[in-house]
Amino acid sequence: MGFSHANDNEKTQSFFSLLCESGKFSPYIHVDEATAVKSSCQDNGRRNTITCKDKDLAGFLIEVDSLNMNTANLKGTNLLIGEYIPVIPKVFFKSPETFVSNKIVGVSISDIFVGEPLELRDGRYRVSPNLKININVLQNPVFQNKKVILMFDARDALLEHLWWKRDDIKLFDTLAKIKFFAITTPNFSLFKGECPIGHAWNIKKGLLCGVELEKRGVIVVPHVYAVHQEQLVRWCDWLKKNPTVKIIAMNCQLQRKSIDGRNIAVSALRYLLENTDVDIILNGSDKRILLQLEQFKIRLHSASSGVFKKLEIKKMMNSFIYKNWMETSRKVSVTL
Amino acid sequence: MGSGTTRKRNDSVIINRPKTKKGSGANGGGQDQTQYEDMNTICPPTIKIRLNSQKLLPEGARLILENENILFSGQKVGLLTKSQFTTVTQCITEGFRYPGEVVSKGEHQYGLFTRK
Repeated sequence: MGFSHANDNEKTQSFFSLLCESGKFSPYIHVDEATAVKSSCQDNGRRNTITCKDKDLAGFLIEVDSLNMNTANLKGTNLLIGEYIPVIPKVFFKSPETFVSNKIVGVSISDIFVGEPLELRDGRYRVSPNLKININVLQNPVFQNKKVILMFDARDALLEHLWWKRDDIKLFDTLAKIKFFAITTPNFSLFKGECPIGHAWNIKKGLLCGVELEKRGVIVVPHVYAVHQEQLVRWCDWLKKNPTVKIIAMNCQLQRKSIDGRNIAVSALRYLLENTDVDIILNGSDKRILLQLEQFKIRLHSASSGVFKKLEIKKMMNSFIYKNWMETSRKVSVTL
Repeated sequence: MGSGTTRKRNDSVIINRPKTKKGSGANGGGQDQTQYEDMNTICPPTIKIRLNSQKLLPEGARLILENENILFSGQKVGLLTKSQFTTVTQCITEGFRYPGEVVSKGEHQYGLFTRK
């Protein structure tokens, strides 16, 4: 099964792809991966990612112990999980444990902080200056008698900050202390058109987070992203070398929103399902993705907070209608 | 936070130099960034400054920075503070740009300069 290109233009080399030197990092990056590069690797100012032309590339590679995925091995797990994992948003943490009947639930990394981890100011996300993980998050009523999987999926502004500050804030020690049932590795971004060095670096960062968590006794579910066939080949190779990893995760929240994104997700998922025996937790997937993978249904587990968000909107609507009704009643009684 | 073809505009980040224990020697793309400086704080994603134009400027109109002055069609409509000027100057040296536009909020108008 080949990898589906979002459109034919992506098969054609651009001026920037010819100048990309990521192929020098073979076998950890295949020379063909540069074909999709759509912006200059030179002087990108480390906007969102690093590139092959970064002046301190050596430092970034030392940080992740090279781009070789096989220096980061995981035990993983073979969790018995159901078809659906409800991801409980913060607004429902105080609900009684009976509010959710599932015994295995999820929680987003963005919801385990004291206060909001990010602030949206002038249309851009920034990390809150008082970032602090709530180590008692699982003491909340809704989580009682439940096994909670931490979905380490967040915006880049937060993920990159946590990665950069991981030692200062003792990130992995803190997460291990919370006693989650399992933790997925972070979903560091992989965008088509960007330098494959950045892709490989982000894949390795995610695996290293998993290694650090396993060292602390945490069950780890590796998160997998791939935007190129060769990345999928490497993931399959890595999974064969880590045969006890029986469940992986993929966040589809952004991918599901566009046809191109869904094509990338479905191609990657199909390849992984056909070439390995892993089960996959799909966080934030939807029917448009799941229906295309119907034959693998038994190996797919859908994690979602959708049902809670609808409930929240309903609650807000009810409260709005109630408030309006109260105001109208008051006006009527004043008039009378 | 994702994978696909297009990044979200509201979620842009500058990758900081790694805090390697071993140390890797040379500085990176940033001229003077040390391992301990958060470039996302030094060069914030946006800078918003209240404008002092007498007349109402068109929403979304392009603003130009010339030294500490904010210009609209060659007319001075605002001023950067000393610290804002230092920030912009440093970030331009680091390779970032801060194109600006007029935004209105309530009774006031602002210059919104967004890191590119």
